Amino acid sequence: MADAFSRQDPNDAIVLTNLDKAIEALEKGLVSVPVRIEFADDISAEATHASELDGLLQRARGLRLVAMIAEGQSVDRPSSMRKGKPALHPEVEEILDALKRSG
Amino acid sequence: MPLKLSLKPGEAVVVNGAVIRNGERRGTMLLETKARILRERDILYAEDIKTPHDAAYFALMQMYLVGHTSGHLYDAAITALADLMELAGTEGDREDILTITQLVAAGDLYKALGNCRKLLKSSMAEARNG
Repeated sequence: MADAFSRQDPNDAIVLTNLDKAIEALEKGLVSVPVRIEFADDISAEATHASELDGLLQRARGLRLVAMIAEGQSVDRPSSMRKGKPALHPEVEEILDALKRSG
Repeated sequence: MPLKLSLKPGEAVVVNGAVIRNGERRGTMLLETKARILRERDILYAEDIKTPHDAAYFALMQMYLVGHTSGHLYDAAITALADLMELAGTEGDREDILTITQLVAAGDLYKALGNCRKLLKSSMAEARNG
């Protein structure tokens, strides 16, 4: 993949500090790994393998959605993010059941 | 450096998804490697979700217990944090929720859960006072 961002050493991560531009670059496939997005001071997410890029994009999009709400912007949430109680994950259900049984 | 975990008699802890309950005496456990640890007192049950703060804490707790930093559990956490953000009444609350969201997006779930716990406690204190 051709990088639209330069790096001095191929092992150095491309560091993206603008969330909107980072999402755009990931959506358009303009960056390859390793890539890091800095969300705030000392808070960042990194993909070191190509298989992690989708997850990184999902995480960046989720943060942008909450940040837009914080700024008072109107947000059209994707269907997977409509209001409601979180569904119980089977592994968590097993843990909670075990705690209740043994407690 | 190992983590020393002191457990009261009968106290339980979840380590990497395994529920471990201490026996009848006070005990100490040394964790020699990194692990996802959550004490029983920090567990929230699904039936105890009453407020958007609870829902956000529960969503983050699920991510931490399972160890997933993206996927369905991430969407559920963002949904709960977005609900919470919509209700935030002060700039301070919005900043706190945004920091928690940044930590979740960064995959620092332990810190995110700790910050969310503080937010949950302060919201409970506010509700009590008024």
